[in-house]
Amino acid sequence: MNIKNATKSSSNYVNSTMNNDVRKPSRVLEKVILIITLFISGLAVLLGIFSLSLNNLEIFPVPVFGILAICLLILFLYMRHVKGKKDWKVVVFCGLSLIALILLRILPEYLYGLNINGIIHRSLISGLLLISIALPSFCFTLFYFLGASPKASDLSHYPVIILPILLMLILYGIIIVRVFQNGAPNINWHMLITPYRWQDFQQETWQNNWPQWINQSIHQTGIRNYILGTLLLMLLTSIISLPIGIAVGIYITEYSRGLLANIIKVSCSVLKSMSVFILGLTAVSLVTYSSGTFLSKIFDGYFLDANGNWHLANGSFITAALIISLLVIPIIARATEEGIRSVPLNLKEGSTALGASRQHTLFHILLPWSYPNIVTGLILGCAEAAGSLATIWFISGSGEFGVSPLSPVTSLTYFIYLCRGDYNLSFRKVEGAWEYSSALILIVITVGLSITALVLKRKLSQRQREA
Amino acid sequence: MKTSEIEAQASEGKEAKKKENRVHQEIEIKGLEVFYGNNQVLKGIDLNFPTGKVTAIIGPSGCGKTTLLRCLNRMHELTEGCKLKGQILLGGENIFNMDPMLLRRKVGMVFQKPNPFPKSIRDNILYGVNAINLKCDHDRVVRSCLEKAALWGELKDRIHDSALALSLGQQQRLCIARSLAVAPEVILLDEPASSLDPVSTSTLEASIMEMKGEYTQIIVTHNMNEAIKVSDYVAFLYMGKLMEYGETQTVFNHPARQETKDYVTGKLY
Repeated sequence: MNIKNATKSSSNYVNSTMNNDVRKPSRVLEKVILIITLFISGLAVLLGIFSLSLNNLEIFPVPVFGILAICLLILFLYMRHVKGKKDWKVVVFCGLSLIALILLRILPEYLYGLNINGIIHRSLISGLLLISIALPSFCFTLFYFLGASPKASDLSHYPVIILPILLMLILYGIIIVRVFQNGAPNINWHMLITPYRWQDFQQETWQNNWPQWINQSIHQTGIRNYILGTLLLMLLTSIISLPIGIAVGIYITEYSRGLLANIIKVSCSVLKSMSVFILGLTAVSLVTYSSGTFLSKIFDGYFLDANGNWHLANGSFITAALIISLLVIPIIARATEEGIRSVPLNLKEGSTALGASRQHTLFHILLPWSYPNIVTGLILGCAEAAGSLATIWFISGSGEFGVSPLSPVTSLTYFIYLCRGDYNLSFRKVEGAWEYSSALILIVITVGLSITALVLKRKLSQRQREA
Repeated sequence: MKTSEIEAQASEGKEAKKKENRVHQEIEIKGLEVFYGNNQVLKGIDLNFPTGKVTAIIGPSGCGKTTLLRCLNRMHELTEGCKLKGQILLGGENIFNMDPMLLRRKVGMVFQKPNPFPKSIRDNILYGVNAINLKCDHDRVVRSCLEKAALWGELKDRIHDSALALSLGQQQRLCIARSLAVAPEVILLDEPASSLDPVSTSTLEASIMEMKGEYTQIIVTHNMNEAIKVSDYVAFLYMGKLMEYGETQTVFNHPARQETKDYVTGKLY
């Protein structure tokens, strides 16, 4: 029966194709209709994207929907009469665009939420409608345009995949261009190597065995300390969190299978999802509770004034690195866990069968295999450290007093914040848009890290898994 | 005093005799039962593996051959939920009282799929040696192991290359060479030829034949021809029970049980 049916259907297919050949539909007319529909639906998608953010485009969606509906109707009628195919999808989308047209005509300009403050403009809704109706229409028009073959159906899904990527790339582009435009002209060598200092102070001198105070001021502007601070913060964070993170990852996968492992896993994910401001408060409490004890010099940090006396600061680089490590350890632990879990079981068994101890297997098989994962985790963690502001916000200093593990903590992100916020007036004496320059340098550091990670990962994995 | 001394000597002599007897039976399995959770895989197996001979374990899929093999060097402990009853004696000593790492040094294992480490050939062979910090002439160990596995001629110039660049057959023989490096007494082979081509299989079989006498070998196989060609003794397992055990020729030519006959002639899967 099946075979008979199959032959029947195939013969039907042959007949229909032959019929098509007999009718000889005009190719040019078909192409024209398809191109117009493609153009209109593509235009509608673009219009939808723009009217998500621009309110003054609201006169366009209604006519565009109208033209789209007409085009789809023509397409359907052409398909039905000339090719004998009834594609109900086309009719459905034609109807949908008509409904959208009517809806947009009915809608008031502003929609109110529960209270008067929740305002949604009509163009936002029209944008969503345009994208959700015009994109599928674009896809199946493309399908007919490419010849309605299986390959065409494959290709016609591309716009759905490409559009979000395109949107994301546009966003990236806007960020990069904006930062580059504003930041690049201000960057110069002098700025990079000068530490920021803006101080008016009295210097103590001794003349005839009597102290004299002379008013002095140092006014120099540059962001050396902020760059070095960011780098130091990254270094300290990775020194603290790498061994702990790897140990946690190993413990979770290899040594503990009970309640404790689950507790550690849950606490890792909680740490990752916790608001960073809470960690910032933890940092503050670390600094305040240690005051008066021997730890205060380590946690508070200290700096020397112009007269050589040392003062306690708000918080040191070590404190900041400790707190950021709380965010970075889960990342590295997770990466290590993934790496170790990806080791093939037969390698582990092979090692065990040779009489190797668990430790030997761990250090010679499991860890080398997961180096690439660990490196990725570390780089992600470093980027976290470079970009974190909220965790160190409460304890950061202005960065005028050098960069060492026990100096007051400072970083590029904090400098950007200082430049934008106007509570610290001295920072407004900075010339130009230095926040953008610092942002550019931060981006360069992060991108450099990512590239290093990629190269390192590729090298390590080549050594490990391939020839 | 004297009498007790004599008695002691006599008992020593008895023990020595016993040991002599046992030397012929390297591994003795007594009443072995293995459970995976509630599922009983092996149901009371009593079996001896003679020293210096090749014993093949045959049987249809899922009859517990591999489980039996893995119990012999306590690899079953890596599987969660695996419980075991009974005794396994290696040279008269219960293996469950031994240090598992020492045991695995004495009882090497080669797996179904070649599993060379992602290191150089030399490092692969020295892995076991380095794992126990054995002090020996590394170059000589590498050479002798490769020679025993019939690989030295092919690989003597490529010792520092990655082991993953070898062909599958070479990889499997490398795994055998690797297990020889820690001077085992017994080698367990878990379907070693199942993923190899015919030529590699025959080379592998040749190296197994070559190692006869020096090592006690236990081979799990699905291939009847391989069992006939390689083994001196055959154990037939069926549904977790030992059906038949004897010399290869006897088992294959004059099987005592109907199941054995069916399996050997290909009627039972």
